[in-house]
Amino acid sequence: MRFETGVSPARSLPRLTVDGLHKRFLLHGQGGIEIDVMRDLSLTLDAGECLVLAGRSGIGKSTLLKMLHGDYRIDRGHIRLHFEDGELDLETLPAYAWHGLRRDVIGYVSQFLRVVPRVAAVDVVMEPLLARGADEHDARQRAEMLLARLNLPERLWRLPPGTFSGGEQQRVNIARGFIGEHPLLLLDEPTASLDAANRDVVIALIGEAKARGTAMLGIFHDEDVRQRVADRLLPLDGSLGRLPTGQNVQESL
Amino acid sequence: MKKPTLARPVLLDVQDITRLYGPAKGCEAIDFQLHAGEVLGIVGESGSGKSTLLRVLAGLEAPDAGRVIYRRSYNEPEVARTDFHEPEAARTGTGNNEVGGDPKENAESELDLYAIGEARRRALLRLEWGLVHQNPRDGLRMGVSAGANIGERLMAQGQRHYGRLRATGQDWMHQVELDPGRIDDAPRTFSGGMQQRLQIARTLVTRPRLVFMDEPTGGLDVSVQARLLDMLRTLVRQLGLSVVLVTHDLAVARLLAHRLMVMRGGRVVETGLTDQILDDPQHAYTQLLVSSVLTP
Repeated sequence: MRFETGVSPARSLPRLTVDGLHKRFLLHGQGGIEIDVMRDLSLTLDAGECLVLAGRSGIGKSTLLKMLHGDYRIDRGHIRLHFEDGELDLETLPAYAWHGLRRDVIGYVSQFLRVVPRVAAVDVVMEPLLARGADEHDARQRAEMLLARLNLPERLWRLPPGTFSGGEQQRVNIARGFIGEHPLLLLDEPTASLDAANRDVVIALIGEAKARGTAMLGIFHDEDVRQRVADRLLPLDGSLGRLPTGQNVQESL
Repeated sequence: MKKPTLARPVLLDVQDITRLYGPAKGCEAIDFQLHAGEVLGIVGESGSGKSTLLRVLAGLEAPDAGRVIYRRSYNEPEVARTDFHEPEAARTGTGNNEVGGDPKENAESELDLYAIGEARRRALLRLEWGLVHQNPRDGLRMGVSAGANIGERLMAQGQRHYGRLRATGQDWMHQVELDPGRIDDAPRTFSGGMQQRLQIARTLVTRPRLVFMDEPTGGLDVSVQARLLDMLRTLVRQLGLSVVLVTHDLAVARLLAHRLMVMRGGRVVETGLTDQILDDPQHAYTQLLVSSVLTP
Protein backbone atom coordinates (compact mmCIF):
# COMPACT_ATOMS: atom_id res chain seq x y z
CA MET A 1 0.00 0.00 0.00
CA ARG A 2 1.03 3.50 -0.72
CA PHE A 3 1.19 5.96 2.13
CA GLU A 4 1.09 9.70 1.89
CA THR A 5 4.32 11.40 2.86
CA GLY A 6 4.37 14.26 5.33
CA VAL A 7 2.11 12.93 8.06
CA SER A 8 0.25 15.80 9.69
CA PRO A 9 -0.68 15.61 13.37
CA ALA A 10 -4.35 15.53 12.40
CA ARG A 11 -3.85 12.20 10.67
CA SER A 12 -3.38 10.24 13.85
CA LEU A 13 -6.79 11.15 15.24
CA PRO A 14 -9.60 8.75 14.44
CA ARG A 15 -12.50 10.52 12.79
CA LEU A 16 -14.80 7.51 12.66
CA THR A 17 -15.11 4.26 14.53
CA VAL A 18 -17.56 1.50 13.62
CA ASP A 19 -18.06 -1.24 16.14
CA GLY A 20 -19.96 -4.51 15.82
CA LEU A 21 -22.29 -3.36 13.06
CA HIS A 22 -25.03 -5.71 11.90
CA LYS A 23 -27.65 -5.32 9.20
CA ARG A 24 -30.63 -7.53 8.51
CA PHE A 25 -33.43 -6.97 6.02
CA LEU A 26 -36.89 -8.32 6.76
CA LEU A 27 -38.92 -8.62 3.57
CA HIS A 28 -42.61 -8.69 4.44
CA GLY A 29 -43.72 -9.06 0.83
CA GLN A 30 -41.70 -12.23 0.38
CA GLY A 31 -43.21 -14.27 3.17
CA GLY A 32 -41.38 -12.39 5.86
CA ILE A 33 -37.95 -13.78 5.06
CA GLU A 34 -34.99 -12.27 6.88
CA ILE A 35 -31.64 -11.77 5.23
CA ASP A 36 -28.45 -11.00 7.08
CA VAL A 37 -26.30 -8.78 4.92
CA MET A 38 -23.76 -7.61 7.50
CA ARG A 39 -22.34 -9.30 10.56
CA ASP A 40 -20.12 -7.79 13.22
CA LEU A 41 -18.34 -5.23 11.07
CA SER A 42 -15.82 -2.97 12.80
CA LEU A 43 -13.40 -0.37 11.50
CA THR A 44 -11.46 2.75 12.40
CA LEU A 45 -10.90 5.61 9.99
CA ASP A 46 -8.44 8.42 10.59
CA ALA A 47 -8.49 11.96 9.36
CA GLY A 48 -6.60 12.29 6.08
CA GLU A 49 -6.93 8.61 5.34
CA CYS A 50 -8.62 6.74 2.48
CA LEU A 51 -9.82 3.30 3.50
CA VAL A 52 -10.96 1.11 0.63
CA LEU A 53 -13.58 -1.58 1.15
CA ALA A 54 -12.41 -4.85 -0.35
CA GLY A 55 -14.43 -7.96 -1.05
CA ARG A 56 -16.17 -9.97 -3.74
CA SER A 57 -18.28 -8.11 -6.24
CA GLY A 58 -21.96 -8.01 -5.29
CA ILE A 59 -21.23 -8.69 -1.64
CA GLY A 60 -23.00 -5.49 -0.54
CA LYS A 61 -20.19 -3.07 0.18
CA SER A 62 -22.51 -0.15 -0.53
CA THR A 63 -24.62 -1.26 2.45
CA LEU A 64 -21.98 0.04 4.82
CA LEU A 65 -21.81 3.42 3.06
CA LYS A 66 -25.61 3.66 3.11
CA MET A 67 -25.68 3.00 6.86
CA LEU A 68 -23.03 5.68 7.43
CA HIS A 69 -25.06 8.13 5.34
CA GLY A 70 -28.34 7.35 7.08
CA ASP A 71 -29.98 5.79 4.02
CA TYR A 72 -30.25 2.49 5.88
CA ARG A 73 -31.17 2.15 9.52
CA ILE A 74 -28.59 0.93 11.99
CA ASP A 75 -30.07 -2.23 13.54
CA ARG A 76 -27.27 -3.19 15.88
CA GLY A 77 -23.78 -1.87 16.59
CA HIS A 78 -22.24 1.55 16.87
CA ILE A 79 -21.13 4.24 14.48
CA ARG A 80 -19.27 7.03 16.21
CA LEU A 81 -17.87 10.28 14.83
CA HIS A 82 -15.03 11.92 16.75
CA PHE A 83 -14.57 15.65 17.06
CA GLU A 84 -12.07 17.80 18.95
CA ASP A 85 -14.71 18.57 21.54
CA GLY A 86 -16.67 15.36 21.73
CA GLU A 87 -18.28 12.45 19.99
CA LEU A 88 -21.48 11.77 18.14
CA ASP A 89 -23.20 8.38 18.05
CA LEU A 90 -25.10 7.94 14.82
CA GLU A 91 -27.22 4.98 15.92
CA THR A 92 -29.00 7.19 18.44
CA LEU A 93 -29.06 10.39 16.39
CA PRO A 94 -32.65 11.65 16.01
CA ALA A 95 -33.95 11.77 12.45
CA TYR A 96 -34.31 15.55 12.46
CA ALA A 97 -30.58 15.99 13.12
CA TRP A 98 -29.41 14.06 10.05
CA HIS A 99 -29.84 16.75 7.44
CA GLY A 100 -27.55 19.08 9.38
CA LEU A 101 -25.02 16.29 9.72
CA ARG A 102 -25.12 15.59 5.99
CA ARG A 103 -24.85 19.26 5.19
CA ASP A 104 -21.80 19.87 7.36
CA VAL A 105 -20.02 16.58 8.12
CA ILE A 106 -20.80 13.54 5.95
CA GLY A 107 -20.54 13.84 2.17
CA TYR A 108 -21.48 11.10 -0.27
CA VAL A 109 -20.66 10.45 -3.89
CA SER A 110 -23.23 7.83 -4.86
CA GLN A 111 -22.98 5.64 -7.94
CA PHE A 112 -25.86 7.34 -9.67
CA LEU A 113 -26.92 10.95 -9.79
CA ARG A 114 -30.42 11.53 -8.50
CA VAL A 115 -31.58 14.04 -11.04
CA VAL A 116 -33.88 16.86 -10.07
CA PRO A 117 -35.79 17.62 -13.24
CA ARG A 118 -35.12 20.99 -14.79
CA VAL A 119 -32.17 21.91 -12.54
CA ALA A 120 -28.99 22.82 -14.45
CA ALA A 121 -25.81 20.82 -13.86
CA VAL A 122 -23.99 23.79 -12.32
CA ASP A 123 -26.89 24.36 -9.89
CA VAL A 124 -26.87 20.69 -8.91
CA VAL A 125 -23.17 21.00 -8.10
CA MET A 126 -23.37 24.23 -6.09
CA GLU A 127 -26.39 23.22 -3.99
CA PRO A 128 -24.37 21.79 -1.05
CA LEU A 129 -22.66 25.19 -0.63
CA LEU A 130 -25.91 27.15 -0.91
CA ALA A 131 -27.43 24.89 1.74
CA ARG A 132 -24.79 26.24 4.12
CA GLY A 133 -25.65 29.79 3.22
CA ALA A 134 -22.69 30.40 0.92
CA ASP A 135 -22.68 33.38 -1.41
CA GLU A 136 -24.28 32.36 -4.71
CA HIS A 137 -21.61 33.95 -6.89
CA ASP A 138 -18.76 32.23 -5.03
CA ALA A 139 -20.60 28.90 -5.05
CA ARG A 140 -21.16 29.14 -8.80
CA GLN A 141 -17.49 29.90 -9.39
CA ARG A 142 -16.42 26.91 -7.33
CA ALA A 143 -18.89 24.68 -9.16
CA GLU A 144 -17.71 25.84 -12.58
CA MET A 145 -14.10 25.35 -11.59
CA LEU A 146 -14.78 21.75 -10.58
CA LEU A 147 -16.83 20.99 -13.70
CA ALA A 148 -14.06 22.44 -15.85
CA ARG A 149 -11.48 20.36 -14.02
CA LEU A 150 -13.57 17.26 -14.64
CA ASN A 151 -13.66 18.15 -18.36
CA LEU A 152 -17.42 18.56 -18.57
CA PRO A 153 -17.98 20.64 -21.73
CA GLU A 154 -19.04 24.16 -20.85
CA ARG A 155 -22.11 23.97 -23.11
CA LEU A 156 -23.54 21.36 -20.69
CA TRP A 157 -23.19 23.42 -17.52
CA ARG A 158 -26.52 25.22 -17.92
CA LEU A 159 -28.43 22.08 -18.95
CA PRO A 160 -30.20 19.64 -16.64
CA PRO A 161 -28.10 16.45 -16.43
CA GLY A 162 -31.10 14.17 -17.07
CA THR A 163 -30.09 13.68 -20.70
CA PHE A 164 -26.32 13.44 -20.10
CA SER A 165 -24.33 10.26 -20.70
CA GLY A 166 -23.45 8.04 -17.74
CA GLY A 167 -19.92 9.43 -17.56
CA GLU A 168 -21.11 13.03 -17.74
CA GLN A 169 -23.67 12.46 -14.97
CA GLN A 170 -21.01 10.77 -12.87
CA ARG A 171 -18.76 13.83 -13.18
CA VAL A 172 -21.59 16.13 -12.10
CA ASN A 173 -22.09 13.80 -9.16
CA ILE A 174 -18.39 13.88 -8.26
CA ALA A 175 -18.26 17.67 -8.44
CA ARG A 176 -21.33 17.86 -6.17
CA GLY A 177 -19.76 15.40 -3.74
CA PHE A 178 -16.38 17.13 -3.50
CA ILE A 179 -17.50 20.77 -3.55
CA GLY A 180 -18.62 20.75 0.10
CA GLU A 181 -15.22 19.54 1.42
CA HIS A 182 -16.96 17.48 4.10
CA PRO A 183 -14.62 16.10 6.78
CA LEU A 184 -15.97 12.58 6.10
CA LEU A 185 -16.53 11.53 2.52
CA LEU A 186 -18.14 8.30 1.31
CA LEU A 187 -17.21 7.26 -2.24
CA ASP A 188 -19.25 4.61 -4.02
CA GLU A 189 -17.36 3.77 -7.21
CA PRO A 190 -16.80 7.36 -8.25
CA THR A 191 -14.61 6.32 -11.19
CA ALA A 192 -16.79 3.51 -12.54
CA SER A 193 -17.86 5.12 -15.80
CA LEU A 194 -14.94 7.48 -16.39
CA ASP A 195 -12.17 7.47 -18.97
CA ALA A 196 -8.51 7.44 -17.93
CA ALA A 197 -8.06 11.22 -18.00
CA ASN A 198 -11.05 11.84 -15.74
CA ARG A 199 -10.06 8.98 -13.46
CA ASP A 200 -6.80 10.85 -12.93
CA VAL A 201 -8.72 14.00 -12.01
CA VAL A 202 -10.74 12.09 -9.39
CA ILE A 203 -7.56 10.56 -7.99
CA ALA A 204 -6.07 14.05 -7.72
CA LEU A 205 -9.23 15.29 -5.96
CA ILE A 206 -8.96 12.44 -3.48
CA GLY A 207 -5.30 13.31 -2.89
CA GLU A 208 -6.17 16.95 -2.21
CA ALA A 209 -8.95 15.89 0.16
CA LYS A 210 -6.48 13.75 2.09
CA ALA A 211 -4.14 16.70 2.39
CA ARG A 212 -7.04 18.72 3.88
CA GLY A 213 -7.53 15.98 6.46
CA THR A 214 -10.67 14.49 4.94
CA ALA A 215 -11.39 10.95 6.06
CA MET A 216 -12.61 8.82 3.16
CA LEU A 217 -14.26 5.45 2.90
CA GLY A 218 -14.51 4.17 -0.64
CA ILE A 219 -15.45 1.40 -3.02
CA PHE A 220 -13.27 1.15 -6.14
CA HIS A 221 -13.46 -1.80 -8.49
CA ASP A 222 -10.67 -0.56 -10.73
CA GLU A 223 -7.49 -2.18 -9.41
CA ASP A 224 -5.25 0.63 -10.65
CA VAL A 225 -7.35 3.35 -8.99
CA ARG A 226 -7.53 1.34 -5.79
CA GLN A 227 -3.73 1.05 -5.68
CA ARG A 228 -3.34 4.76 -6.17
CA VAL A 229 -5.85 6.03 -3.59
CA ALA A 230 -5.95 3.43 -0.82
CA ASP A 231 -3.97 3.92 2.36
CA ARG A 232 -5.44 0.69 3.71
CA LEU A 233 -7.77 -2.05 2.52
CA LEU A 234 -10.59 -3.35 4.68
CA PRO A 235 -11.34 -6.97 3.83
CA LEU A 236 -15.08 -7.58 4.12
CA ASP A 237 -15.67 -11.08 2.77
CA GLY A 238 -16.20 -12.33 6.32
CA SER A 239 -18.71 -9.74 7.45
CA LEU A 240 -20.71 -9.03 4.29
CA GLY A 241 -22.78 -11.17 1.95
CA ARG A 242 -26.34 -12.45 2.01
CA LEU A 243 -27.06 -15.14 4.50
CA PRO A 244 -30.42 -16.47 5.57
CA THR A 245 -30.70 -15.89 9.30
CA GLY A 246 -29.88 -18.61 11.76
CA GLN A 247 -27.00 -19.97 9.72
CA ASN A 248 -23.70 -20.21 11.50
CA VAL A 249 -21.43 -17.59 10.05
CA GLN A 250 -18.32 -19.70 10.57
CA GLU A 251 -19.68 -22.48 8.36
CA SER A 252 -20.07 -20.16 5.45
CA LEU A 253 -16.50 -18.92 5.45
CA MET B 1 -12.89 19.90 13.81
CA LYS B 2 -15.61 20.91 16.23
CA LYS B 3 -18.75 18.95 16.87
CA PRO B 4 -21.59 20.40 14.79
CA THR B 5 -24.62 21.89 16.47
CA LEU B 6 -27.42 19.67 15.33
CA ALA B 7 -30.08 20.46 17.91
CA ARG B 8 -33.03 22.44 16.55
CA PRO B 9 -35.81 23.93 18.65
CA VAL B 10 -39.26 22.40 18.41
CA LEU B 11 -41.67 24.61 16.48
CA LEU B 12 -44.76 22.47 16.50
CA ASP B 13 -45.54 19.91 19.17
CA VAL B 14 -48.39 17.64 18.13
CA GLN B 15 -49.78 15.64 21.02
CA ASP B 16 -52.10 12.69 20.59
CA ILE B 17 -54.33 14.24 17.94
CA THR B 18 -57.51 12.41 17.02
CA ARG B 19 -60.13 13.60 14.56
CA LEU B 20 -62.56 10.93 13.39
CA TYR B 21 -65.60 11.32 11.14
CA GLY B 22 -66.41 7.65 11.56
CA PRO B 23 -64.62 4.41 12.34
CA ALA B 24 -61.14 4.61 10.74
CA LYS B 25 -62.18 7.76 8.88
CA GLY B 26 -59.89 10.61 9.82
CA CYS B 27 -56.77 10.44 11.92
CA GLU B 28 -56.06 8.89 15.27
CA ALA B 29 -53.50 9.24 18.07
CA ILE B 30 -50.97 11.29 16.09
CA ASP B 31 -47.84 12.40 17.94
CA PHE B 32 -44.87 14.19 16.47
CA GLN B 33 -42.65 17.24 16.72
CA LEU B 34 -41.60 19.53 13.91
CA HIS B 35 -38.24 21.21 14.43
CA ALA B 36 -37.29 24.62 13.10
CA GLY B 37 -35.96 24.43 9.53
CA GLU B 38 -37.37 20.99 8.90
CA VAL B 39 -39.49 19.80 6.00
CA LEU B 40 -41.69 16.95 7.22
CA GLY B 41 -43.55 14.94 4.60
CA ILE B 42 -46.76 13.10 5.45
CA VAL B 43 -47.27 10.35 2.89
CA GLY B 44 -50.01 7.80 2.39
CA GLU B 45 -52.77 6.82 0.01
CA SER B 46 -56.11 8.56 -0.25
CA GLY B 47 -58.20 7.82 2.81
CA SER B 48 -55.11 7.48 5.01
CA GLY B 49 -56.13 10.52 7.03
CA LYS B 50 -53.24 12.72 5.98
CA SER B 51 -55.40 15.59 4.74
CA THR B 52 -57.58 15.51 7.86
CA LEU B 53 -54.44 15.69 9.96
CA LEU B 54 -53.16 18.65 7.95
CA ARG B 55 -56.47 20.51 8.45
CA VAL B 56 -56.19 19.99 12.19
CA LEU B 57 -52.54 21.09 12.27
CA ALA B 58 -53.22 24.15 10.14
CA GLY B 59 -55.92 25.39 12.49
CA LEU B 60 -58.85 24.74 10.17
CA GLU B 61 -60.53 21.95 12.08
CA ALA B 62 -60.61 21.29 15.83
CA PRO B 63 -59.53 17.79 16.89
CA ASP B 64 -61.75 15.47 18.96
CA ALA B 65 -58.80 15.02 21.30
CA GLY B 66 -55.19 16.08 21.63
CA ARG B 67 -53.30 19.34 21.39
CA VAL B 68 -51.34 21.27 18.80
CA ILE B 69 -48.74 23.41 20.52
CA TYR B 70 -46.94 26.14 18.60
CA ARG B 71 -43.70 27.36 20.19
CA ARG B 72 -43.39 30.74 18.64
CA SER B 73 -40.23 32.49 19.75
CA TYR B 74 -37.27 30.22 19.50
CA ASN B 75 -34.40 32.64 20.00
CA GLU B 76 -34.56 33.75 16.40
CA PRO B 77 -34.40 37.51 16.13
CA GLU B 78 -37.66 38.86 14.79
CA VAL B 79 -35.87 40.84 12.09
CA ALA B 80 -34.26 37.77 10.58
CA ARG B 81 -37.47 36.55 9.06
CA THR B 82 -38.76 39.85 7.76
CA ASP B 83 -35.80 41.32 5.94
CA PHE B 84 -36.57 39.59 2.67
CA HIS B 85 -37.42 42.04 -0.12
CA GLU B 86 -39.73 43.76 2.25
CA PRO B 87 -40.48 47.38 2.83
CA GLU B 88 -39.95 48.89 6.25
CA ALA B 89 -43.63 48.69 7.10
CA ALA B 90 -43.57 44.91 7.39
CA ARG B 91 -40.72 45.01 9.84
CA THR B 92 -42.26 47.57 12.07
CA GLY B 93 -45.80 46.25 11.68
CA THR B 94 -47.87 45.94 14.79
CA GLY B 95 -49.36 42.65 13.66
CA ASN B 96 -47.63 40.44 16.16
CA ASN B 97 -49.30 41.98 19.16
CA GLU B 98 -52.57 40.95 17.70
CA VAL B 99 -51.60 37.29 17.92
CA GLY B 100 -49.63 37.44 21.10
CA GLY B 101 -52.34 38.52 23.50
CA ASP B 102 -50.90 39.51 26.83
CA PRO B 103 -47.12 39.84 27.08
CA LYS B 104 -46.87 37.20 29.77
CA GLU B 105 -48.03 34.50 27.40
CA ASN B 106 -45.68 35.84 24.79
CA ALA B 107 -42.74 35.27 27.09
CA GLU B 108 -43.82 31.71 27.72
CA SER B 109 -43.81 31.37 23.95
CA GLU B 110 -46.27 28.51 23.72
CA LEU B 111 -49.62 28.69 22.00
CA ASP B 112 -52.16 25.90 22.29
CA LEU B 113 -53.82 26.20 18.89
CA TYR B 114 -57.31 25.22 19.94
CA ALA B 115 -57.21 26.72 23.44
CA ILE B 116 -56.69 30.24 22.14
CA GLY B 117 -59.79 31.93 20.79
CA GLU B 118 -60.98 31.84 17.22
CA ALA B 119 -59.89 35.44 16.57
CA ARG B 120 -56.34 34.84 17.78
CA ARG B 121 -56.11 31.59 15.88
CA ARG B 122 -57.16 33.35 12.67
CA ALA B 123 -54.61 36.08 13.32
CA LEU B 124 -51.91 33.47 13.81
CA LEU B 125 -52.79 31.76 10.53
CA ARG B 126 -52.78 35.08 8.74
CA LEU B 127 -49.60 36.50 10.25
CA GLU B 128 -47.20 33.73 11.17
CA TRP B 129 -48.32 30.65 9.29
CA GLY B 130 -49.05 29.88 5.68
CA LEU B 131 -51.16 27.30 3.91
CA VAL B 132 -50.75 26.20 0.30
CA HIS B 133 -53.81 24.35 -0.98
CA GLN B 134 -53.69 21.64 -3.62
CA ASN B 135 -56.18 23.58 -5.71
CA PRO B 136 -55.01 27.18 -6.14
CA ARG B 137 -58.66 28.25 -6.39
CA ASP B 138 -58.99 27.46 -2.68
CA GLY B 139 -56.10 29.72 -1.80
CA LEU B 140 -56.57 32.61 -4.22
CA ARG B 141 -59.21 35.22 -4.82
CA MET B 142 -59.92 34.49 -8.43
CA GLY B 143 -61.71 37.75 -9.17
CA VAL B 144 -59.10 40.25 -7.99
CA SER B 145 -55.70 40.99 -9.55
CA ALA B 146 -52.55 38.98 -8.99
CA GLY B 147 -51.03 41.98 -7.21
CA ALA B 148 -53.99 42.27 -4.84
CA ASN B 149 -53.72 38.55 -4.10
CA ILE B 150 -50.10 38.92 -3.08
CA GLY B 151 -50.68 42.14 -1.17
CA GLU B 152 -53.62 40.92 0.88
CA ARG B 153 -51.66 39.22 3.63
CA LEU B 154 -49.26 42.17 3.86
CA MET B 155 -52.24 44.50 4.28
CA ALA B 156 -53.49 42.23 7.03
CA GLN B 157 -50.16 42.87 8.72
CA GLY B 158 -50.75 46.58 8.60
CA GLN B 159 -49.09 47.65 5.36
CA ARG B 160 -51.05 50.32 3.56
CA HIS B 161 -48.56 52.03 1.25
CA TYR B 162 -49.83 51.28 -2.27
CA GLY B 163 -46.52 51.80 -4.05
CA ARG B 164 -44.66 49.49 -1.69
CA LEU B 165 -47.32 46.82 -1.85
CA ARG B 166 -47.15 46.93 -5.63
CA ALA B 167 -43.34 46.76 -5.65
CA THR B 168 -43.40 43.78 -3.31
CA GLY B 169 -46.03 42.15 -5.52
CA GLN B 170 -43.86 42.54 -8.61
CA ASP B 171 -40.83 41.34 -6.70
CA TRP B 172 -42.63 38.19 -5.66
CA MET B 173 -44.03 37.52 -9.11
CA HIS B 174 -40.46 37.60 -10.34
CA GLN B 175 -39.45 35.34 -7.46
CA VAL B 176 -41.97 32.65 -8.47
CA GLU B 177 -41.18 33.11 -12.16
CA LEU B 178 -44.36 34.91 -13.15
CA ASP B 179 -44.25 37.85 -15.52
CA PRO B 180 -44.48 40.96 -13.27
CA GLY B 181 -46.17 42.68 -16.21
CA ARG B 182 -49.28 40.64 -15.45
CA ILE B 183 -49.68 42.06 -11.95
CA ASP B 184 -53.06 43.58 -12.83
CA ASP B 185 -54.46 40.41 -14.39
CA ALA B 186 -56.89 38.22 -12.49
CA PRO B 187 -55.68 34.70 -11.61
CA ARG B 188 -58.51 33.17 -13.60
CA THR B 189 -56.64 34.19 -16.76
CA PHE B 190 -53.57 32.21 -15.56
CA SER B 191 -52.76 28.55 -16.29
CA GLY B 192 -52.95 26.00 -13.45
CA GLY B 193 -49.19 26.07 -12.91
CA MET B 194 -49.12 29.87 -12.85
CA GLN B 195 -52.02 29.96 -10.38
CA GLN B 196 -50.15 27.59 -8.10
CA ARG B 197 -47.05 29.78 -8.21
CA LEU B 198 -49.17 32.82 -7.47
CA GLN B 199 -50.69 31.04 -4.48
CA ILE B 200 -47.19 30.28 -3.22
CA ALA B 201 -46.17 33.94 -3.62
CA ARG B 202 -49.33 35.03 -1.81
CA THR B 203 -48.56 32.65 1.05
CA LEU B 204 -44.84 33.31 1.41
CA VAL B 205 -44.87 37.10 0.98
CA THR B 206 -45.31 37.59 4.73
CA ARG B 207 -42.42 35.20 5.41
CA PRO B 208 -44.36 32.77 7.55
CA ARG B 209 -42.36 30.67 9.99
CA LEU B 210 -44.41 27.61 9.37
CA VAL B 211 -46.00 26.55 6.09
CA PHE B 212 -48.47 23.76 5.45
CA MET B 213 -48.67 22.36 1.94
CA ASP B 214 -51.38 20.00 0.74
CA GLU B 215 -50.27 18.20 -2.45
CA PRO B 216 -48.78 21.44 -3.82
CA THR B 217 -47.91 19.84 -7.16
CA GLY B 218 -50.96 17.60 -7.25
CA GLY B 219 -53.09 18.80 -10.12
CA LEU B 220 -50.28 19.90 -12.41
CA ASP B 221 -48.78 18.54 -15.62
CA VAL B 222 -45.50 16.73 -15.07
CA SER B 223 -43.37 19.38 -16.79
CA VAL B 224 -44.99 22.14 -14.73
CA GLN B 225 -44.59 20.02 -11.61
CA ALA B 226 -40.82 19.70 -12.04
CA ARG B 227 -40.44 23.45 -12.32
CA LEU B 228 -42.55 24.05 -9.22
CA LEU B 229 -40.62 21.46 -7.20
CA ASP B 230 -37.33 23.16 -7.91
CA MET B 231 -38.85 26.52 -7.00
CA LEU B 232 -40.17 25.17 -3.71
CA ARG B 233 -36.79 23.67 -2.84
CA THR B 234 -35.10 26.99 -3.47
CA LEU B 235 -37.64 28.99 -1.47
CA VAL B 236 -37.49 26.58 1.47
CA ARG B 237 -33.72 27.00 1.53
CA GLN B 238 -33.62 30.75 1.02
CA LEU B 239 -36.35 31.57 3.53
CA GLY B 240 -35.39 28.86 6.02
CA LEU B 241 -38.97 27.65 6.10
CA SER B 242 -40.33 24.93 8.33
CA VAL B 243 -42.84 22.91 6.35
CA VAL B 244 -45.42 20.19 6.85
CA LEU B 245 -46.04 18.72 3.41
CA VAL B 246 -48.83 16.28 2.58
CA THR B 247 -48.33 14.23 -0.57
CA HIS B 248 -49.20 10.83 -1.99
CA ASP B 249 -46.25 11.13 -4.39
CA LEU B 250 -43.11 9.52 -2.99
CA ALA B 251 -40.90 11.16 -5.62
CA VAL B 252 -42.11 14.59 -4.48
CA ALA B 253 -41.50 13.54 -0.89
CA ARG B 254 -37.96 12.43 -1.76
CA LEU B 255 -37.13 15.77 -3.34
CA LEU B 256 -38.64 18.05 -0.71
CA ALA B 257 -38.84 16.32 2.67
CA HIS B 258 -36.08 15.72 5.20
CA ARG B 259 -38.21 13.36 7.21
CA LEU B 260 -41.32 11.30 6.47
CA MET B 261 -44.34 10.04 8.34
CA VAL B 262 -46.22 7.20 6.65
CA MET B 263 -49.97 7.04 7.36
CA ARG B 264 -52.48 4.31 6.80
CA GLY B 265 -56.06 3.98 8.05
CA GLY B 266 -55.75 7.18 10.09
CA ARG B 267 -52.64 6.12 11.95
CA VAL B 268 -48.91 6.61 11.57
CA VAL B 269 -47.27 3.30 10.68
CA GLU B 270 -43.67 4.45 10.32
CA THR B 271 -41.54 7.57 10.66
CA GLY B 272 -37.93 8.27 9.80
CA LEU B 273 -35.41 10.02 7.64
CA THR B 274 -36.76 10.25 4.07
CA ASP B 275 -34.02 8.05 2.63
CA GLN B 276 -34.57 5.44 5.33
CA ILE B 277 -38.31 5.27 4.69
CA LEU B 278 -37.80 4.95 0.94
CA ASP B 279 -34.62 2.82 0.84
CA ASP B 280 -34.95 0.75 4.01
CA PRO B 281 -38.67 0.63 4.90
CA GLN B 282 -39.43 -1.45 7.98
CA HIS B 283 -43.21 -1.73 8.13
CA ALA B 284 -45.01 -4.17 5.81
CA TYR B 285 -47.25 -1.39 4.50
CA THR B 286 -44.34 0.98 3.82
CA GLN B 287 -42.52 -1.79 1.97
CA LEU B 288 -45.61 -2.38 -0.15
CA LEU B 289 -46.06 1.34 -0.80
CA VAL B 290 -42.43 1.88 -1.81
CA SER B 291 -42.28 -1.23 -3.99
CA SER B 292 -45.48 -0.26 -5.81
CA VAL B 293 -44.04 2.94 -7.27
CA LEU B 294 -43.62 2.88 -11.03
CA THR B 295 -40.23 4.01 -12.26
CA PRO B 296 -40.11 5.01 -15.92
